[in-house]
Amino acid sequence: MHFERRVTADSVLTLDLVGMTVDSVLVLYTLHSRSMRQFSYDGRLLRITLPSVKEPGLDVVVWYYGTPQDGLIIGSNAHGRRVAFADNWPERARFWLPTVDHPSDKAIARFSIRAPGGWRVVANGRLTPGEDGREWNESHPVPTYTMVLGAGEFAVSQHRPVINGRDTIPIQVWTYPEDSAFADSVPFRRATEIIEVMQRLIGPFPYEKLAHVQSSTKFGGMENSSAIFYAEKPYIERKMGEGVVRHETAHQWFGDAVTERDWPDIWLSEGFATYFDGVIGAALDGDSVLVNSMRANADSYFKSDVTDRPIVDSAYAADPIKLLNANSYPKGAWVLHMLRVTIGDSAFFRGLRTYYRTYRDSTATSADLQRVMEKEGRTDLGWFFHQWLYQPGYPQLDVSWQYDAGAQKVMVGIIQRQKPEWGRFRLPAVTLEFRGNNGALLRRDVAVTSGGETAASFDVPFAPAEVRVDPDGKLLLKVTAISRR
Amino acid sequence: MECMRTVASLLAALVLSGQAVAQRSGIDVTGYWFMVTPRFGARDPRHRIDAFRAARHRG
Repeated sequence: MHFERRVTADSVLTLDLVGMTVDSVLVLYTLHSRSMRQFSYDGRLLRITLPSVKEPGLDVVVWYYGTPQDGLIIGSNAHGRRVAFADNWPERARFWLPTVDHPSDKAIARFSIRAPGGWRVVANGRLTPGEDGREWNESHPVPTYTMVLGAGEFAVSQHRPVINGRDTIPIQVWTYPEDSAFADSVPFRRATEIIEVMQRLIGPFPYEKLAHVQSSTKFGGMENSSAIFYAEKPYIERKMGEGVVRHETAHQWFGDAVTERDWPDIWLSEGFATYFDGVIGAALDGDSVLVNSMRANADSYFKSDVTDRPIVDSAYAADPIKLLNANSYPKGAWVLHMLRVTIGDSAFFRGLRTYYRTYRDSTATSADLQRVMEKEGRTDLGWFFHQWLYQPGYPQLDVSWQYDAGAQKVMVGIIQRQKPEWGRFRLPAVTLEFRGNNGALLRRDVAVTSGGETAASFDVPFAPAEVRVDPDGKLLLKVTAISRR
Repeated sequence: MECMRTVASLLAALVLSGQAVAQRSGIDVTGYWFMVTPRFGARDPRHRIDAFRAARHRG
């Protein structure tokens, strides 16, 4: 029998671990062979020299202890009771867990947890009877930033489960007892329906269960795989709505199951979740939810201080907190919306289903998404991904028009007025709406090129009183001037 | 975050494999098994034994 030697004699396993004390390290390289290993630990990185073995895998056991400076937050909740919650995003798992703390290295996770009597414990995956204490087992690879536990006094309500083929996915709402009735009846009232919409549009829910957990996360919501944590304050103030639930639930597909391979591609997580907040809302309550959502996303992006930066921003690779900005969220959502407009609903959702199926339980890049969408849309999208992901800004259009009553034609001129450093944009179909007196209305599309001025003429059998640009809000743009010549 | 008096004593078993995308040292971690025991005081040596036994029994 041949064994490929994958671990050479001088291999070193390097794990992130901050501020702990490491007692010892043991390597198990066969069922009956083990050895205590030399290691070095400088308070940030744990380096373990591995033995030369023929087996493809190794088990390493690390004994360590300490008071986490971050990552695992043990304290009092808003009702004054003691709780413990992990809060790992982006690279804070390392403050309490020895891990390769980067989204590129996803792994399955099992937590065996001891907690004080009367506490309930939640973590990723399925609860299984443990030998000693409570054991949670997540059998799908997840990024370290979503590996969590929560422990405290909880009320747990079971919502209608999701049926996924032969599997039944439990849907649970974990709250502090005082906030249970509000949570069940307001933000999580349609927790099951939200998942069912995503299953219809994208594919099966990726995990064994979904717990929505009130917590002390410093984020409004944190999409931990199969155990979403939400900030406690909006529950207590009774201000929590469904939007954050839709957003974090969508992350289970995009961000958790399909994870950005590196931080500059974080829009693959946040842009998707932001967009699907609106898409799910539209599926449940009508198209106006998405229209309003995209309008708010545009306003938020226009007002932001990141319009001079591209979405895929390698300069922030080492500082992912800075990527939690209006490029990753609202502009990312707009990229998806415009991609949908560009290739059509059918190809768009077919492409996303393929993307999810292909990269589920793994990682992806923007280039991976582009390849899938080009194949499903049967068109080159290099220009689209380049201008919206790697160029900063957005198109600002000056539009002028003139009506020739004799010829019954409208001549239109469009000039891109945005900063030169943002570059020029190609807009294959900008809708123009000609409105006459007495309710006459005509719509025509014009292709705006990335070159100089765009000129076009249209047959219009009435004298327009007004011309509107992109009346349905399909594009992320601003009309800086519209004038009649 | 409030100042913590609690000492969280954490034990971890890491399952490693070299099969997937090369990471640091060409090693890809495929699974973690964390045994977490919050302690109010000193470490309990009994848990070290639990961690070791659990790791050996991994399929």
